[in-house]
Amino acid sequence: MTVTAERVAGVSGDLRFAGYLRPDGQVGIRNRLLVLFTVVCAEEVSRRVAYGLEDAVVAGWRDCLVNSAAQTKMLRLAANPNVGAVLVMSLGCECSDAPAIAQSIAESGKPVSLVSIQAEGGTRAAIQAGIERGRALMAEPFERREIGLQDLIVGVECGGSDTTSGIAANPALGLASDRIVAAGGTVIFEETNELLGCEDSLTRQAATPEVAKEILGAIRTAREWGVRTGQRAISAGNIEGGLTTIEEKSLGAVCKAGSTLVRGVLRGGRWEQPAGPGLHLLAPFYVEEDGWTGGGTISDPNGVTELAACGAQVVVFTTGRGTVTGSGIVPVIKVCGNPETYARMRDNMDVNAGAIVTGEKTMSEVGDEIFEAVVRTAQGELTRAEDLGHFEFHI
Amino acid sequence: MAAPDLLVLDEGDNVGTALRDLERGTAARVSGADGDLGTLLLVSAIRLGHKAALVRIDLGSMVVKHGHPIGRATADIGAGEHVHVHNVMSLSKDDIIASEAGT
Repeated sequence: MTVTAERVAGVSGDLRFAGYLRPDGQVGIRNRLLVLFTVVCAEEVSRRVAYGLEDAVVAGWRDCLVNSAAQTKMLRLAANPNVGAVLVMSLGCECSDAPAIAQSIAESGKPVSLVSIQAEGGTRAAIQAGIERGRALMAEPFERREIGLQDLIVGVECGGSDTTSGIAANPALGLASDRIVAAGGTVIFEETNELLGCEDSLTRQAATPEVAKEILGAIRTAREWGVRTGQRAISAGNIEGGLTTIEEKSLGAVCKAGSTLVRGVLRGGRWEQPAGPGLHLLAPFYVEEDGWTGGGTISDPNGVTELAACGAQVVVFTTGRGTVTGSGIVPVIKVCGNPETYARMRDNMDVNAGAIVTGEKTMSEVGDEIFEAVVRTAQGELTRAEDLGHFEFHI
Repeated sequence: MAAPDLLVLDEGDNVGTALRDLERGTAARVSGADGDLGTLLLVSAIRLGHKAALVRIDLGSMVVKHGHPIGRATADIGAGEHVHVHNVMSLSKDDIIASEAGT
């Protein structure tokens, strides 16, 4: 197989879902009320509001300082197509400009309401106002439209990795990624710090010389960032586990993106949506011309939050050691490559890629299972993380 | 399907990865993305997550996994032999710890 060859996948044409049509033309696969706090002082009240409403999830920015990237990220999350309406919860005196955030959301056409805890008269009054306004926002009729894989943006990520990640869960996810792209869908992969040593293979996978240049820039930035934070190269433990070179380690992670051409590089800090279908790389540590860098927090929920900010409606997350986190905005499908972890944590796992290790299933069969899990999730089936109420976020 | 011993991740690969600890002398069952690819006689013990050469890999040629080169052979490697830091060198300047461990 040549790396630039688009792998042809057999996709039947009847994979339709009832999506939610948003005023900006995007389509969601969930219809959630986002309760968006603009400072940590409004977080607890926001949670109480969400407890009192159906399909309400909480996210927000905790720090009390002026941060244009945080404001952009909040707006990008509010713009996610799975979000039907937004309730902005403000204390009233924080550095974040809550009225401007609410105004921007309103201009996008999405239903929005602003509650200021100080103006409402404190905790009880703000909770009551929040619940009433949230209920009113979600009582509006939401237009449904039949959609398909060509309307889907699927984020892929890994965390809590072990030896099985690179040989079972990630390669199987790569096969599913190829099928999604072959069906006209969009896939976003990230974690540029896991691309070190992959320069040659990834630039060959670039759709254009411009994209190749951007990929190299993103890896260079990740390297500089890695040198500063000590997150670099492979560890003695990796070698003990059988990984020989940095290329091998990185390929074991990046293979979850599949083998189709990389169509574009998205910049952390802007969290722009992919301009068209196909495979895209999100570079969290992107250096702008003015020297400003995206990125910041590092965690599994932050990775999922970034993918949601880029418009992903669903994320597939591979693990070996086992993770439990999800997202309120984007359903997270957990693929576990370690059969022992799967047996121990099966409540948290959607797909058992450990079946590749035990010989119960082939790589291709598990790839198909992941693809089918994406379709069922898009059709409304709750993922394990959603069912368990794992609605983490990390900005 | 019997549990495979070695998994080949891409049809262009010249190494397979052990799915369990395998003894020297084992006729390892090799599996690709779509199932059985036959057996390989192991001339080294291969632990879980470690690699065995599927074919002879000559000194200086590429070791290929995931369909891509992961390094260059620093010795002739026979089929069924353990492939690791003792006979593979990274091509990347980011291979920091591995190159230390390889000395």
